[in-house]
Amino acid sequence: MTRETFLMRLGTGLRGHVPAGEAKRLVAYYDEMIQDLIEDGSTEADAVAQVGDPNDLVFAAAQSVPETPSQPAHPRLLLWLLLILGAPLWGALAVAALCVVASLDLILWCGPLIGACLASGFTLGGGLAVVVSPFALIGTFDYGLTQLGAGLLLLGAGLLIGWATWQLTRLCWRGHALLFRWVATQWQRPKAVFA
Amino acid sequence: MDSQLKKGLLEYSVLAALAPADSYGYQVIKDCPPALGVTLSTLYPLLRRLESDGRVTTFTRLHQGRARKYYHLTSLGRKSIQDFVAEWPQVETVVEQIQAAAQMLPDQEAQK
Repeated sequence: MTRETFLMRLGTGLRGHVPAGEAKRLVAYYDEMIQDLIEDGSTEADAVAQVGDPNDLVFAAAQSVPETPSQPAHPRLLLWLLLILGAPLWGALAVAALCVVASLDLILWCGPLIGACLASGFTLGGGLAVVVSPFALIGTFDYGLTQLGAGLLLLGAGLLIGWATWQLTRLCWRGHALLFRWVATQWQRPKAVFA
Repeated sequence: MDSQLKKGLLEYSVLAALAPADSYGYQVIKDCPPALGVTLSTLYPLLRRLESDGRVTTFTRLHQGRARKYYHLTSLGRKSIQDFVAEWPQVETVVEQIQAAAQMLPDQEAQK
């Protein structure tokens, strides 16, 4: 292998595996070594062979990328600056997203609310009808009997709807917890990215 | 020589190779004892580490029409060598302990 081929293969292999500056340094280092070996009496092919296989060197370099100095405070400062400047955009979007979540939660609780209203209405109405039906029976028997029957029917329906509402409330509570857990994870995700 | 032992000695040997005068990579390899087995690929990360530690600085000089990178031992590098030499008596006590243990090994075999 010629020196040119070796350096080309090394440079190409290093690309993407080590930072560009480090790749340049490595290529320059091995180029200097080959030239020193040639100067010391080796042929070009021997010098290249002594340096080693470019693939092995790439692998070794990728395994031991030198430590980069810790990032300066500028990117964090820039990030805060971008956050403040972009507040009118991301702030509006965040408020809209929160409103959507709140609307979803409200829709979720509409079922139990309707159920509770129906159950309480039916139970109260039915109960009241049953309680006052004896007075109706005394007055007009047919009306009184119908009121008692309708009252019992409403009371039963109210109790059934109440039971169904209780089950629905439990489901909605789970849905509410899942929704807010999801919102919480969305809030934590950017923190993990910026950490 | 044990690879871990070599690893520990390698950087001081490279620093020592730079102590008499500024030198370049290929010459450093030739100046290090062959027992350490310094190669082209093992020298590069070592020199990089010494450079980032501030024990070595680099500069480029023209040599026969081409640029050659030279390594210069800094005061921190010199201090590093001095510290290593100052600590050597402690290493010797460990070596003596190991030697003493090694001398006892055949006796224990004989007792069995």
